[in-house]
Amino acid sequence: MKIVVRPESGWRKVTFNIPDEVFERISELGERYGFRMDRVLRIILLGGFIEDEESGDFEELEKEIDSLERELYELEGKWSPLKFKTYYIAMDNQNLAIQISGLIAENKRLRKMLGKEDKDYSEIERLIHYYMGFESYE
Amino acid sequence: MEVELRVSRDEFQRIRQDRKAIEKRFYELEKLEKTLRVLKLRYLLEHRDSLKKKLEEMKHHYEELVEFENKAKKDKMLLFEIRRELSYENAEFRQQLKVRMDEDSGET
Repeated sequence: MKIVVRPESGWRKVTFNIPDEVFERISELGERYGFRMDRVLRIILLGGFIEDEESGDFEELEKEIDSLERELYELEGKWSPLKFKTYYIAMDNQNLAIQISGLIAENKRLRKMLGKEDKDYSEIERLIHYYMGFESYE
Repeated sequence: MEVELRVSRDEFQRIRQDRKAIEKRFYELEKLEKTLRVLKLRYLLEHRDSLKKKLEEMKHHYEELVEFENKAKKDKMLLFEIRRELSYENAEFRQQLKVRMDEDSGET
């Protein structure tokens, strides 16, 4: 097998000739560990061999990843409808807040005209302000 | 058969200079396997950690959303009640004002 290496631009090249069975073996290793051939060749060409020992159980890690992905998928499935539902509750509250705001203005005016005592609306107004400013949440 | 690979100018220079060493490396299959094994292991560990982080963040956001939903539901009930009370009180006040205005016009 001939491996031809060229720069991104230019006509020069470097050629390596390796026996087909060696190339086959390299290709098998790439497949076994999930690496594309060009990535494996780059490791060989650019001297990226790792000398350190690192241990770990692939199977165990893959199981853990599967389980985490499943959990994430389930949570995402619950998240979207809840977000949709909550958004519409908040929008209902915004509409109610607009209506109440008008009713409070009327109530204040009527109280004044009738000479009645002012009422403290601060708590309600805080709630109105909260939902009036509501646009969306992330 | 031929495989062609494009590399950057700097990498090409390095490959030209290391040609002899590279030729030997093609046969160092044990070292290659060990490297691929370690790289895969590192990838799996990174992927697992990023999933864990994402899941934690998602759980936190979900809990916040559940909390917000509960608050919004309670607030909705409260706002309904406030609207009902104010509508009733305003109607009563309007009635009182009407009576007062009728009395005033009767006096004049």
